[in-house]
Amino acid sequence: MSGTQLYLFTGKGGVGKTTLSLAFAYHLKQLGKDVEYATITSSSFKSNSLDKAEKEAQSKLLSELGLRHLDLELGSSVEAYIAKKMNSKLIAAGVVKTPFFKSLINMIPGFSYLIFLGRILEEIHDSGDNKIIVFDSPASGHTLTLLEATQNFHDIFKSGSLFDDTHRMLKLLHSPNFMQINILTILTEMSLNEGLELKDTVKSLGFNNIQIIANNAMALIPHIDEEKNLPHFIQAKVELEQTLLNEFKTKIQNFVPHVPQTESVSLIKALAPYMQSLVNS
Amino acid sequence: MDIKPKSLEIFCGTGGVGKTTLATSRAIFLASQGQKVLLVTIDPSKRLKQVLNLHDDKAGTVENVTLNLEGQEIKLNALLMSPEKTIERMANESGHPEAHKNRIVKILARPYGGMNEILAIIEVEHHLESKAFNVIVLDTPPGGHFIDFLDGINKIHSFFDASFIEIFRYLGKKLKGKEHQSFNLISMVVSSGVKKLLGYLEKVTGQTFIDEFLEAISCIYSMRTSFNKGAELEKKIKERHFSNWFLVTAVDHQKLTEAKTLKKQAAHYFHKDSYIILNKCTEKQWEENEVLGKLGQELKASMLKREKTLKDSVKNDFNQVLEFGEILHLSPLTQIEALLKQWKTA
Repeated sequence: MSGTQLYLFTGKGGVGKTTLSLAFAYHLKQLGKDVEYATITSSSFKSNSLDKAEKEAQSKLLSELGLRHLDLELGSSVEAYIAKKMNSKLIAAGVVKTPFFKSLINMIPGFSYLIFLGRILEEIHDSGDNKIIVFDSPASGHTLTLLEATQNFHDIFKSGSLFDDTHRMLKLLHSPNFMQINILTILTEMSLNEGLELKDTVKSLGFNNIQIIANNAMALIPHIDEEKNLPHFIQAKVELEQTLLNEFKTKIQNFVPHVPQTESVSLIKALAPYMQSLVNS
Repeated sequence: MDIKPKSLEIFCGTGGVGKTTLATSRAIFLASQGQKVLLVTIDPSKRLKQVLNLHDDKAGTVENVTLNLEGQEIKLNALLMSPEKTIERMANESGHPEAHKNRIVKILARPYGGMNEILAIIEVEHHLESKAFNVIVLDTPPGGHFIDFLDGINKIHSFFDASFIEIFRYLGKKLKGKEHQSFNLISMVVSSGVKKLLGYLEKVTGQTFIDEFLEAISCIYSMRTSFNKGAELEKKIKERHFSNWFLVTAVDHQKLTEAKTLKKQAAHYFHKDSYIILNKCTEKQWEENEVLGKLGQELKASMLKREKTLKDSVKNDFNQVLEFGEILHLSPLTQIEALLKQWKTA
């Protein structure tokens, strides 16, 4: 096995998950890696996926960054998986249409996550040792469902070909260095502690390759400490953050400064160089 | 503007960066005004649990919380969601107390087994129905998962949909027997769609799994009354006299479109008493006539620009915007105290 091939980004909502995972994918691309950016657009048959305008905005952003997109959509992913298992596209199309099947899958979101994870692993498998996938995964609680899903369905199936699949997935996910889980936080006491808690929970599921990244730090803006005339409000925030940086520096290794940019592409490109500490090759 | 408390106050939004703290402060604020409040949280941080003195081993049971804030003793109730406890209660209510012990049901009701959201809906409806509280403050999962949470209601409906009546009728009868041991159902299921499906499933899992799977479904089906009761929540949350909606978003993050998307997706739930909370606003915190260096100017300008863009973009979609200022304090309790003041003037 070569370096890490799956980088999963998670964290509570609103911590800059999408921006940083894009910055990371962009950074890998700059390093000449074969990288793909994966997102889940709909995790149940009923849920509203992104609307057309947002999808267009997303693909525009990705093409401006030159990133390839692995768009995980429930219906087609499940259908592809069943077709493979049954060796028949016809059967798969029929099964997916059954109301019973649909409502069952909707009741058990863990199964959808299992399918998505399966697709990502397949993509990596099919593309060889150099493929890297950056997975902008769901917010923390759902990521735990996603990470637990393989084990849960492994326990549920107990035998048969679905069991074999989950077994293989577990083996791959737990092989050293294959996957890195990046937990994003912001520089507040609550958020940093939540990040550490999430790390412990993820560890308890048997995953050990975990990084915590504190995002949007005003105190780490280059040369900010040399600046004499800062607004009082910013000065107070910087001082507060410095206290936290001292308190947490032994537990958290990755910090990303606040970047005064409001436009997405420039923001992502400006953040990319700070992603180097996360690269695990 | 005075925000009148309702039976159910729902906090949704980008989360993590203040949603839970805001929901907690709202619950404490209403309790300080003499309301009998239950705060329901799905996935709270350890720090928040410490503030409220909640314990993981009591998850699933309502705990009494007493706080001393600014010389006032405030009492409220809080509940940490426990999928396992909820399903156990449902099994007991349904008269099939053994149903929650089914192996597959047990795995699905693990803390992150995935049924958390559907079970949270049922739990909330249960406490609403008990009428033990004037106000239930509900902290929902962050971001788009809040939509999954609302969808949970539809999922319940479709799962128990009439199209499965035949399979379930059979299973229902079966369950009334003393022991619902493994049974070979495939040949007996009338509905051909389901029969075919189970046939396919058997190919990839084996017969033992099919038996266990059907038994799990029959266990869940035996709790259908509790599931369907939970689904009644849907009607209530759409009524203005019944609920207040708070959509929380923070202005210091790159989330300009998220609030609008959430609103669009949840549009048929929202009513006139839906508020957007812009948390961590800085506008009022900049001092006038400050002499600033280049970096200071740059930061102030970009932060204000981001804030203005967000404010402008939500104004068209929300007629009720609440601004909460960024609080620069380390201790969560101090933060909550500061938020209480903001609720008073909200």
